Amino acid sequence: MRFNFDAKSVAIALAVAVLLVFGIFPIALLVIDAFIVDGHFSLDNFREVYVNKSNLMAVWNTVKASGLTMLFSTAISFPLAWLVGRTDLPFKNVFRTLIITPYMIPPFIGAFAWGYLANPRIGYLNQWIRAVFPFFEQGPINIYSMNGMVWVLVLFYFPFSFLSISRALEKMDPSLEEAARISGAGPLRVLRNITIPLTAPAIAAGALLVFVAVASAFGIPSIIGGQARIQVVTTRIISYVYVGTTEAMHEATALAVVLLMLSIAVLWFSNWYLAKREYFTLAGKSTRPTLVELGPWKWPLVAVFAIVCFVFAILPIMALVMTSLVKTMGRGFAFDNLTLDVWRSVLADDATWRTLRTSLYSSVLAATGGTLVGLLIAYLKVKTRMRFRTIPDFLATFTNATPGIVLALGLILAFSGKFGLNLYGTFWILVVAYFVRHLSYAVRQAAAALEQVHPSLEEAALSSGASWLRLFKDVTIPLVGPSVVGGWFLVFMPSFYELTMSVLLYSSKATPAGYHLYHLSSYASPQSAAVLSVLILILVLIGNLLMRWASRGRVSL
Amino acid sequence: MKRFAVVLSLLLVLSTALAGCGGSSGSSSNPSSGSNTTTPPATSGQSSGSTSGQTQTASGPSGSIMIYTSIYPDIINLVSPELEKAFPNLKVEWFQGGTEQVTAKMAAEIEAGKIGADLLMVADPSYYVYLKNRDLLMSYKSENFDAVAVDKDTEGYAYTGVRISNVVIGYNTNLVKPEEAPKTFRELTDPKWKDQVVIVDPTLSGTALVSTYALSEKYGWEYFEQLRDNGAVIGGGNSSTETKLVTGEFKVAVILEENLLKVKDRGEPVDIVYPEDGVIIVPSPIGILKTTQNAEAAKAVVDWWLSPEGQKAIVTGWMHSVRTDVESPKGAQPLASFAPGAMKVNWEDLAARSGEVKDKFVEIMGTK
Repeated sequence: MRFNFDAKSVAIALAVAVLLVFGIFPIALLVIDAFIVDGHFSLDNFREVYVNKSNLMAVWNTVKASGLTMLFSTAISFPLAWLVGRTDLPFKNVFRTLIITPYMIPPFIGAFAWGYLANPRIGYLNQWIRAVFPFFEQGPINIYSMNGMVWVLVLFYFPFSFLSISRALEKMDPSLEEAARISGAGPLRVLRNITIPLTAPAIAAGALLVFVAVASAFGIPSIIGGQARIQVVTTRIISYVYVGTTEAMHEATALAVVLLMLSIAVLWFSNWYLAKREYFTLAGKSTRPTLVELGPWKWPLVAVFAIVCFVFAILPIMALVMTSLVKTMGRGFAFDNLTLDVWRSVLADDATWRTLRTSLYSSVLAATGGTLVGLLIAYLKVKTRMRFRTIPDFLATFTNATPGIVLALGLILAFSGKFGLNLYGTFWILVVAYFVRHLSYAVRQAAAALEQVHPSLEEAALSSGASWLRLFKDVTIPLVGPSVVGGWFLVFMPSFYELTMSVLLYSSKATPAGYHLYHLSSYASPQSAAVLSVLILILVLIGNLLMRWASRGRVSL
Repeated sequence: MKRFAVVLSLLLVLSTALAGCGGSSGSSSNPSSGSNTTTPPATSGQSSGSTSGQTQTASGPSGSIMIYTSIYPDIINLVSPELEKAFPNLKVEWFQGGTEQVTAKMAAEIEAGKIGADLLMVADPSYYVYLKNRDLLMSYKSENFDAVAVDKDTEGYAYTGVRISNVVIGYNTNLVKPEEAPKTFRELTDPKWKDQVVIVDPTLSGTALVSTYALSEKYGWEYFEQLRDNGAVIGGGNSSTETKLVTGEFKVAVILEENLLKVKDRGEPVDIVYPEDGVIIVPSPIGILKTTQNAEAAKAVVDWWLSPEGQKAIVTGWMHSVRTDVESPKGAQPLASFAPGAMKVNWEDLAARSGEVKDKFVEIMGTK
């Protein structure tokens, strides 16, 4: 028994140490720097930053955009996840894949796509609408507004809450619902009194992920918000960083602290909320939820779902494909203005494949490391009674809430060899950056899954004489396996196309695809950037399909 | 489990296939290729006795050298083979990003006490003033120094102009007739151009920082307030602003001449106005970092950039040469035709106030 305890502690301690060294240490270095002016402790940087009216406005905009995105994401996620997970909706597997496709599109490319679709003057959508209703002179859809920005943010960040909720729905112990049904409750009543309360942790976890992810997002706010004159905290931070002086870097960090505070507040709230209840829905019995029959609603709902999928997934991809095929952007999409030349040149370019390979390796490593460490940290939080057990989870969220660019600067400071470890300028700095930035997705995913595993299963294993390692390997991991693989993908995908940190951390030896994408969009042409993003999308989709096939449908996004 | 094995082997096959793709074409023209060279990178060992980089043989400098730059990758592709020819024993490595990204990276490296660059080629001249004031630039008077006709550090020889970018007005020829196109920056505040003007963000682009500074010095910050009230919009960096002009989302843009020349040559419907109230000329410098481990090579590369060969590469990249004996890029007006009326920029002042300029711009343009 003593040995069991030790193996567990060692594994968990290692996971926490990795997080501390690679995630917290670099950020701490920067934050400490922000408090030092001319070699003395000072609050001048903070005073400077938080007196500035534009910054306060930006804080408010961040709260507003993140809050609205969180609300709308949760509001659409639950019904969609319920339809896919708990009903006999036809084609639900296709819908399931389509609906989360936006997560596989790099957000800043998605923002460009929506710019092409819905800018008020020449957006494809607005042109079509005007063709049908000629009385509109401009618009009517203006993507460059707060509403437009929230719309795009919801599209790209709601998969966090969708995945979280649908996982919980699929795993739920159906006996409670069955009991309610047998006692005469209607489907809606069951939903309201049983299903929703039982999935509350997953709903909250998903909402939290959305909020934190949006608050630290940069691509969409900079592209959509910039033109709409909406400043958010991340875009302000980047402005400071790009001043390029040491002083401005400290001001950027001082401003980043507000994001960290926001995430602390949200995390604290969700811990407090979840601590009030105890959920175990996955016990050791057969768990195949009965599907709700939709009856006459079946086909209307298919139609609704199809429209939603079309707007969420197909439209932006269409915009990208259309862009990738035009000869000159000036003439738009016309049949005599189409060419495959851009595709040919991007496919023939050595750099395309080399950067994709670098991204593949670095994100596979980051995702695998993230899944392992994430699982242990989640285990520590959910399944042990150690003191301070929730702190590592919290720290992971913290590194996730740190804007990528700030994290990248911290990594440069910490791993240039000044403190013994020299990763800067190598391939490994990318792995570390992706790992640290996206770790919390794996933790959340694993924690949500572990929360549903009843302790009786582990107790059974332990009392049959299994060691902790054995228990972990043979009981815990198989039970949470599919969720954990889902978490792997959640880390893998944003790492695969990561842009913000890559732009600062790449080196001639290790150039990732995200940097190449950025470089194409800023220096080559929008067409070649569109080709590369379609290419990335295809690769990620193939990966997802392979995963599903290999696991016989149990694992997929 | 069998299926997972299949997937794993597929992945293996895929990655070897990808590796094959990378190696097959084998052209070393790309800036970020060259992973198969054996020369150690310049960034790796600051402390170790760095004699290897400084040995100079009959065939020119050897070792390796790292250039941080904001010049466009297509120009890097263009000059890489030329540099290889001129310096067969030298491995030239590049870090390429927007000026503001490069300076952010530099800021972190300065803080960490480990500057990775030997040579710096970013757009904004005021940044060199900043570096010089912090005593980070090496004094070097190139053999070609006297041939350079633009802004250069004639006191400390810390930096020299190496390429010239110009901020001008571009218009979409599908939507605006040449005779109707705006003649001046001032005119863009006219109701005639209501909601039709897109400008570049000075927090993202070094040249836009210069133009923002120059315009605010000439017309005061009211100019930007009027632009805003006239519905002018920030289009992001130069490239995304270029796209908004080309697609006709906006009729008129305040943007770099080189972007316009490039897309015009590609057949896009744009043309250039050299504003009568003054083109904003940005003579982007080159400078050697004091911390370089390979000063000989750095000096030789600076000489090359300022030579007629190096300058021709600049012109192929749609920028103007700093030498008078190299002609203008295709489709551009000669520098001499608009240089006399160009807006004056005080680089020292801008170096001291760049943060303030960005703040003020964001404060004005970022509110409705």
